[in-house]
Amino acid sequence: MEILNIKDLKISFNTDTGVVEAVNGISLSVGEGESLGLVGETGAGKTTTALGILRLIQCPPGEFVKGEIFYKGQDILKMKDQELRDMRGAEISMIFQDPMSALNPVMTIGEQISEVILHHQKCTKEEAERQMLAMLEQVRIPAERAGEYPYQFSGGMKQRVIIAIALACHPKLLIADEPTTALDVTIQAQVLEMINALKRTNHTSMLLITHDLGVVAESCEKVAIMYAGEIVESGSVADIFDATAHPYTKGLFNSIPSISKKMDRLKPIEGMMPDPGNLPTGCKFHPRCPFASDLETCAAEEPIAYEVTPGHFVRCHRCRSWVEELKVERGVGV
Amino acid sequence: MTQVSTRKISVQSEFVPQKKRQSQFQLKAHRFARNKAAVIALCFIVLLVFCAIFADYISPYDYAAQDLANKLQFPSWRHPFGTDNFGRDILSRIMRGGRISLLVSACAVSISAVAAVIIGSIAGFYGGTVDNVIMRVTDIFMSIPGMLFAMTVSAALGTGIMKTAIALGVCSIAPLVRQIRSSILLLKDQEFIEASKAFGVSNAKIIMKHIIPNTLAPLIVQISLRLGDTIMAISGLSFLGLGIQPPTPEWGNMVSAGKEYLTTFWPMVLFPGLSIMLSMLSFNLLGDGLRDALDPRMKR
Repeated sequence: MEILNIKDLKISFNTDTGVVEAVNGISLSVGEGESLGLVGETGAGKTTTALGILRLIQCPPGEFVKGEIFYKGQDILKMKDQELRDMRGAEISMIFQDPMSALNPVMTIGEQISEVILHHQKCTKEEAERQMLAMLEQVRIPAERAGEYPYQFSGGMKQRVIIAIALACHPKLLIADEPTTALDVTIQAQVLEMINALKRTNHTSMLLITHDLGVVAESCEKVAIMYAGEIVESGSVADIFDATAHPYTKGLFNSIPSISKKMDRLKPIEGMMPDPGNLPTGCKFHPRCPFASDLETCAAEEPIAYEVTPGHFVRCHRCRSWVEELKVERGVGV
Repeated sequence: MTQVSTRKISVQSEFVPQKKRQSQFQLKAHRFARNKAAVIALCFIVLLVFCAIFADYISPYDYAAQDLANKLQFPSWRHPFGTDNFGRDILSRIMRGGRISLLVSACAVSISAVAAVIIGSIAGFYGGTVDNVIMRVTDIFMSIPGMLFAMTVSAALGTGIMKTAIALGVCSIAPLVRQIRSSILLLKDQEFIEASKAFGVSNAKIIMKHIIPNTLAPLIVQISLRLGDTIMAISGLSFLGLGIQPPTPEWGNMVSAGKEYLTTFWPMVLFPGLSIMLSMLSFNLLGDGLRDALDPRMKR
């Protein structure tokens, strides 16, 4: 059963310098207990999508131009304020990027965890405190530290506190917005492991936003690659990692140093991410695409999602013609 | 996307020794104690408050008792600060006058702080049109010189302790509103506010539990500085005859009464004048000390 279903979502920001199209008609779905990795460069619209799901985008300047976000069949974009507040934290929860600034510096961490529990569950203070201590134990922070302030914790511990807050009310969907970006590598592994373990025990679905393909491989079943506000390629982890189709995704993999292969230089993707206020016509990736010169259609026509193999979608003119040629060849061959 | 500046601060803060489980309060008190000037100022203020509360019991004479035979006495063992033009003991009158000054300034500052916190939070948190309207109104208030404004309000309300407090309270709302609004504007874009929203906390709760406690430190500093300013303003108003009226002793009207004798008998002006000066200085030093102690960026 699908828990989250986004259909053709378009979010833009009306700024003084013009309309910035941050999210351009993305569609994605997350099943129950499933993890979807949303991967892309900085500025691809990942965080906007996440905040959009929780309706945390300031309107104005933000605007939900079109599309629907269904959570358990209910359109989030049509919810009233009270319904939204009841949903946030209890049904859909979010882990923020930077643990250093996501905790209130003048409240003890215990108070901050209990606050969410008290807010969503009609229970006594004692009950909330009991649940808070249980939660702290789950993220392996000693209970006696509940009365301490955020500045007394290290970055990794703060992120675990945030995880405890996010999972305190056992949400059905967890949005993790680059939960490990601000942490160093050893702590990253620890935190990821913890998120995965808690996710399994609570049977929570997850939307994991990251720019680290390694993180995705470790903890997701499905992947969506985002570029300039669009999902350019999506599919299972195997589809994306082993049968990479879109030139952008290939570029991403080429930018990762490999231990097994001998390489003199990394091959980064040429050029820069386009300005979301002034996007190129046709395929958004064509100015940087090494294959775009072959086809004039790249600059003129916007590619539509094309199903390469069942469940594996690619938005690329080149891939489409390629695969079709292949099919024709095979058809002739048979 | 991440705020570099705030991150730096919190990274630094991790180096505070963790073995000593000091509470926030102990930590701040310790830091405050190292500022000698501020500690002396605090002691002087405590003394002032003590004298003001127990003036009736500890003052050597009745503040209103006239003794015309001993008028305009220079300081002596019997009258440490001398006597005034009606033979009243100046020390006793200063003690009693301190009560009025402190009471009025405490009332005035409470009025302005409460009003400013409410108005400033609304302006800062909601922004947009509400913010614009509130800020333009405060601009208008701030364009009027403070003393002139206080004189106008107290002329309209009349004289008396409570009325003077209201007059002074009303005119210091505007600058405080600005202060509070600016610290809220800084806070409201912090990630933990957004995080609270993402966990479903309502706006009212966010203001009460997350924003106001975070603005408390600068607010306390402002309040202590304002207390000093207000003592000055009360004395100013009373000196001009718009604040506390004689025979109720108040430092300002004591200076006013003594100004006729300035050339021949200095104690009548000097001692109340010194009281005004020292209490204002103390509140300012206290405010400075508190600011240093409460500033999260100062960790040493």
